[in-house]
Amino acid sequence: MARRTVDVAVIIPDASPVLTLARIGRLDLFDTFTAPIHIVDQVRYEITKEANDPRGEVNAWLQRMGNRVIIEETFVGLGFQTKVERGETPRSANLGEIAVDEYATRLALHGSPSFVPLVLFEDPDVLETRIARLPRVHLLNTAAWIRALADEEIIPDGPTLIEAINAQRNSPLKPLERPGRTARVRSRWLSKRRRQK
Amino acid sequence: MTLAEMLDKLERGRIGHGEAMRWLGVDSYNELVEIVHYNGRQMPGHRPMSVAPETRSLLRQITRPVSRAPKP
Repeated sequence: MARRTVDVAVIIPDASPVLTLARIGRLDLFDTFTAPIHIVDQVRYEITKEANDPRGEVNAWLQRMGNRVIIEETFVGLGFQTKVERGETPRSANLGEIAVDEYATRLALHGSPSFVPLVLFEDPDVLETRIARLPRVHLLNTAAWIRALADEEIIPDGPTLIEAINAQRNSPLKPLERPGRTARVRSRWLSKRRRQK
Repeated sequence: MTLAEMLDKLERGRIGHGEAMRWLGVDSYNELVEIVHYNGRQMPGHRPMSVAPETRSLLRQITRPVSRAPKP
């Protein structure tokens, strides 16, 4: 069977993975990705607003990442910004989730057939949203990601990082993943695994 | 001894399962394991549950080791 080239992009659909790593001073873990990271505009607003980023670390990280982080514009985010510019104070609760739904709809309708979304999340509600039902989607929460990076010896201090994250939470962050699988279009890494057998 | 101290001792193998179960007031090993895991700890000698081979394989494709930037 011929190999098909696939494009992998990391999608961060909720603020938590970024804020969690910011709290333990390890936003540099995102530097390990060679694939682009997609964040919708409304989630960018959430992660950079003063209440969540009082010391400006996330803002500085976004600046440093440059075009490795792609901010996906949505009508939800644009509408919110327009209201803010008009001097209104719109409620932003749930708008991140609605903006991600809009982005996921765009991907579902117009995305490339070779696109593989790796969704890095923490909020379990993400599992109920449209982004979690995209074709070939691979879901991974922060704990499972760190554990996999440690297993692959990409980072040396996986258990310490998970301990540091859990020290700031009321309940431990349990690893959660849902690997992407499809019978019709094999992803590059799955094809590679088959070849090795 | 607090719960955290007891779990720490158990994880390091300084106390046995029996003592931990008595301390917690549980009579099933499964319940002990569940409490230990729920508190983000491992049973002594156990390895954390590994992530799926597909996830590891995918991350191998799209990640690289990087050195940490020195703190300013």
